[in-house]
Amino acid sequence: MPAAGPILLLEQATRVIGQGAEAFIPLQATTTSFESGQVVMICGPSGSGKTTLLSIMGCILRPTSGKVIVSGVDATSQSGSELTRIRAKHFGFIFQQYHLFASLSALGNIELAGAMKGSASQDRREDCQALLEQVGLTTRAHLLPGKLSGGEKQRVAIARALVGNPQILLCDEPTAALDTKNALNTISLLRNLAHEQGRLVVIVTHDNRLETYADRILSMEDGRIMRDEPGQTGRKVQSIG
Amino acid sequence: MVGPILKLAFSILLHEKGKTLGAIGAVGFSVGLCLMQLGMRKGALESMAVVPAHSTADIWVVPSGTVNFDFTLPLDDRDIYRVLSVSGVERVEMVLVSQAKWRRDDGGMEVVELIGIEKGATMLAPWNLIEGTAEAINADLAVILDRTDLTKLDCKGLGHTTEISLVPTQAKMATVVGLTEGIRTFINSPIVFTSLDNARSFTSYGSSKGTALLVRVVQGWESEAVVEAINKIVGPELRASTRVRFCRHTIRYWSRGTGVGNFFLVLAGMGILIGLGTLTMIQHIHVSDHVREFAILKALGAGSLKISGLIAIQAMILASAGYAVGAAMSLAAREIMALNDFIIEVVLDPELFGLVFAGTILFSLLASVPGMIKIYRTDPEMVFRN
Repeated sequence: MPAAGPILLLEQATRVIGQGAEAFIPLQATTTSFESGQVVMICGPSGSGKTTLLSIMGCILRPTSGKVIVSGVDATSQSGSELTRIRAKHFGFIFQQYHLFASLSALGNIELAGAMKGSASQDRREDCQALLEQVGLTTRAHLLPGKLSGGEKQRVAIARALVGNPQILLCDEPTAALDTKNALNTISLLRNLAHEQGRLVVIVTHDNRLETYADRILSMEDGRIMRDEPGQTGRKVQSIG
Repeated sequence: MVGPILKLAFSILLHEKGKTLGAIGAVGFSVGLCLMQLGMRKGALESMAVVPAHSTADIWVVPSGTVNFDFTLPLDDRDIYRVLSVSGVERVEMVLVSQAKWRRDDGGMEVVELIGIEKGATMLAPWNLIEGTAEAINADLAVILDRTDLTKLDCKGLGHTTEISLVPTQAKMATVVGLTEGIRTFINSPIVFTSLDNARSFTSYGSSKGTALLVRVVQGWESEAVVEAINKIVGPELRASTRVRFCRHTIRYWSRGTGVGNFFLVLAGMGILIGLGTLTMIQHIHVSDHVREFAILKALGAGSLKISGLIAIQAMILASAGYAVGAAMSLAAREIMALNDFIIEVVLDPELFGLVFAGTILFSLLASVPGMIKIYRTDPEMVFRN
C-alpha cells in the first residue's frame, strides 16, 4: 500500500565539488519528490548528473546544500551512523555489476545482507528463501555466482536489495550487462515490485528498451532535470518540482 | 550476527585457496621459527645451570667472587661447621666442581667438568641414569658421564678407563661406571660425576677442599631468612643464596657473556616480522580484491565495524591454522634434533605454546588493521563508478 505523501523529497539539493572558479556542479539545485508504487526512470547523457542524483537520493552522498527527506525524516541533518541506519531501513541498491561474493551461494549472499542489516537470525534464512522465491530462483539457491547466468545474478542482487523490506529501490544501470530477454525480465520484476508491492523504484539508465515500463521519466542534462514527464505506462504520477 | 560473518570468512578463505595457503604458510613458518628460537633459548638458558637446578638444596654457599656454577673458587670443610652452626640449617654437604682434562684413546685431550659429590649426599646425585647406579661413583676413581658425550670423549661406555687430571703429571686412571641421558651444559664441557674424594684426586684440590656447600633448611623455615643468617656468619669470604637465585646468577652470567639469549630473541623477532608482514600484505590484498563487495554492503546499511569484524575473524582463522602448522613443525623439528643429540634441548612447554598462540592472534589482528582502515575509508559511492 503506497504511503500518503512523497516517500522521498529533495529540496534544492545541490552538489558542488571544489571551490570558486574551479568548482564543478554535478547537480544543480534540484527540487522534486517521489511517490511509492512508481517506476521512475532517470535518463541523460554521461555526465548529466544521474548517478550524483541517485547517490544523494540514496543518502550515500550528502548534498552540499539543500535537503533530502526520507519518509518524513530530514536525512541531511543526520550523522554518518544515522545515515547508515536510514539506508539499511529504507533503501535497497541494485547495480550494473552485481558485486556478489563469489564464495557464497545465492542464498548465502542474501543472508549476508540480512546479517549486515541486523535481521534476527532465526527468521533470516526463511526470509531470504522467500526473497529468492520472489525472484524465481528457488532452485538455484545453493549455487555459487560463478554457476549463474547474468540474468540470474541480477535477480540475486535484486533479492539482496529487498532484504529488510526497503520501500525504495535505487537501480544504477541494472540491465546494461544483460541481453534483451534478461533485461526485460529484470525490468518486469522491478515493475512488479513497484506496482504490486507499492515500492518506489528509481532506475538510472541509458537503455531505451525500458522506457515503456516507466511511470515517470526524468531527463537530465548538465546537472539539471530538464524534463519531468509521465512514462508510457499510463499510470498517473504526481510530483512537486 | 557472527554466524553469517563466520560463514563468509570461511567461504572466502576456502574459495581463495592460493592466498589462504600462502597466509597459513607464512604464519606457520613464523610460528615455527618463533617456537624453535624461544624453545632453544629456554633450553640453552636452562642448561647453563642444569646441575644446581637439579639439586634439592635450598641454599648454595660459594666463595665470594664466584661468578657462576662453573667457574669456582675453593672453600674449606671448616666452612661446613660454620654454616651448620646457623639456626635453621638442617644439613650441609660439600661439592667440588672443577675443570679437568680427559685423555682420549687417540691421545687427544678434552676438557670436562667434574662434579664431585660427597658420599651419602642427599641433595645432589647423577640423574637420568641409563646404566649403572648413582652410588657407583663412590668406588675408587669411578666416574659417570652422559651417553651423548661418548663420541666426544672417545669413550666406549661402561668399563672404559682413561686418565683424568687437572695437572698432567698428576693424572689418575678413571673407570666409567655409569651413563646418564641428556645431561649437558650449554658451555659444552661434558659433565662427569664422581665422588668428592675422587674429584680431589683428579684435581689439585686438597683433602679438605670443595667449591660449594649445599644446604637444606629445617622444614618450616624461610630460606631467605636462613640465607641472611648464613651470610652474617660466613660473609664476606663466602656468600649464600637460594638455589633459585644461584641458578639465575649463573644463567645471567652466561647469557650476558655469550649473548645467546639475545641471539635467539632476535631470530624469534625476525620470524614475527616475516609472518606479520606477509599476513598484512595478504589481508590488504584480500580487502582490495573485495572492496566493491564491501562498498555494496556499506551502501546496503552495513557499518564499517561489522565489515571489519569479517577481516578480524579471517585473520584469526588464518592465525589459528598457521599456528597449528607451526606448532606441529616445531614438535617434529624438536624430535629430529633430539634424535641427533643436538647440543641444545628445545624446551617446548605449555607456557611457551600459550604465549606464542596469544602472540599469533594479537599479531594477526594487527595485520588486519590496514585492511580495516581501508574498509573504513571505502566510500559506498564507489559502487556507482564502473
